[in-house]
Amino acid sequence: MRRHFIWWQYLLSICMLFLIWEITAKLLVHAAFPGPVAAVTTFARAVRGELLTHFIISTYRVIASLLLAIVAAVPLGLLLGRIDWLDRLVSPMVYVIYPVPKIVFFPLIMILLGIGDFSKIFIITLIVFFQVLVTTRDAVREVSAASIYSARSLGAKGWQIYRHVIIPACLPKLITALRISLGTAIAVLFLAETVVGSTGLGYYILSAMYRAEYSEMFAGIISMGLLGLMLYLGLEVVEKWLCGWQRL
Amino acid sequence: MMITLENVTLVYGGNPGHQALSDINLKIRQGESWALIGPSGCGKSSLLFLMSGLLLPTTGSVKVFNEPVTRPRKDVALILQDYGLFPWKTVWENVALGLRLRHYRKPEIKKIVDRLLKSLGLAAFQHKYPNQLSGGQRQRVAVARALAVEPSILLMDEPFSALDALTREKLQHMVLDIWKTRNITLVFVTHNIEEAVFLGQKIAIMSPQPGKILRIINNEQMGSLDYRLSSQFHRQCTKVRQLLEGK
Repeated sequence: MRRHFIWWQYLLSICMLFLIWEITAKLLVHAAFPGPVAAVTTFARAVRGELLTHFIISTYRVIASLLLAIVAAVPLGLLLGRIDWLDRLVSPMVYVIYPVPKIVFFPLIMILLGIGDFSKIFIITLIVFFQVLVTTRDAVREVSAASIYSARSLGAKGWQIYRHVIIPACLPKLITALRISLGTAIAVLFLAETVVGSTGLGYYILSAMYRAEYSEMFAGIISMGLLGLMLYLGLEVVEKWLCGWQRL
Repeated sequence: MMITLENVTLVYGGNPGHQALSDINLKIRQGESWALIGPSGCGKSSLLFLMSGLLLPTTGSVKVFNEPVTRPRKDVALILQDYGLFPWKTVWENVALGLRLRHYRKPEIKKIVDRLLKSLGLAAFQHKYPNQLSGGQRQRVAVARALAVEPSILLMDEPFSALDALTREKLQHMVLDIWKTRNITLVFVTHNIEEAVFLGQKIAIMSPQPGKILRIINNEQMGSLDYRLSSQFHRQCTKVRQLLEGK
């Protein structure tokens, strides 16, 4: 059975994490590794300033990338899972491209799309796209024939079969794929923001490191963690809303 | 004639394929209740799928009201073996689905669904999801969903196979009542001899590989709840058992 969101469990986990952090900082005794109190204090101060702007920009980039990947990959995955000839045509291409680490194309993407938001959003979208595409296609294939027969016997045709059977049946797997992709998306975002540009949490963290402002660097790391947690919880809410029947 | 099958064969897969049904001829009249019984793999379910329009025969013809069946028809409802309910829809939404797909207006859907849920004792469960219900309740939801579209023909694929004996009996009584009061044509597949004799006015005994109709038994005395207790019921059960055992 899946666990419901319980705030005190999250609070307890964060306290544990801070305790481990504090112990590690005490043992390391290194300027580049401040304890949680210094980092959180800096975070509380910085978030009232430019850190919030960088946080909003990074959040926008990840959410835009995830949405674009969903819009592009889900319809294609839904078709590939049901139309054999299309799957035979497209899947070999997917298998060839899927294992290639897409991040290697980032320099090319920067040349073609520039060094602004678009190239960063594009590279994250590209990476998440394949994960969502393959999951959606496989989820469609796993929809039981009995469910489709059941809908057809009630008179469902074409889009109605997608609407009432295939899409709801695939949603839990799609949300799981997004949850897994989220980690990759944030990692790629960090990389992309550190390579080029002067905005976003990746830039903020690296810039603090160059200035040897280590508490500030950790304030950026905390923000990156919060970004991941926020999106993760967002997906939990979406899952509860769309797939509530699974938790019963 | 309500349903006619003439020289029907069904082959699954490519060349040479698996022959599921061979030379099936059946004539089912309006308002009759037919039980299809036979060992596993004799093509009983395939036969039901042909009548529902979900499968097409390889050769021969399947007709309903003298029209060839080429796709699922609006006047035929099918209840699948595992009820065919959608776990992501509530009881109410499951029952309403057939009506939604047929573009009924919302007030009309509400009226029909509410009435059906009430008559089948499901009103209290309307907001529940199928996995919150017992097997018997799920089966009643499946029956409600099939009846919502007011079919002339109700097809049921091993409707009560997963239920305990008492629930099974209660639901058999419910189906008998529906058949008698709604003048519906009923065709159901079963493994259970007592069920076939209790509910089937005609009992088609099938043999496997490829599936054929071995014999059709008239069982006109059925139709009352106490038929189960009569000596005729037990004689018919013995007869069906002997035919299935090839005696």
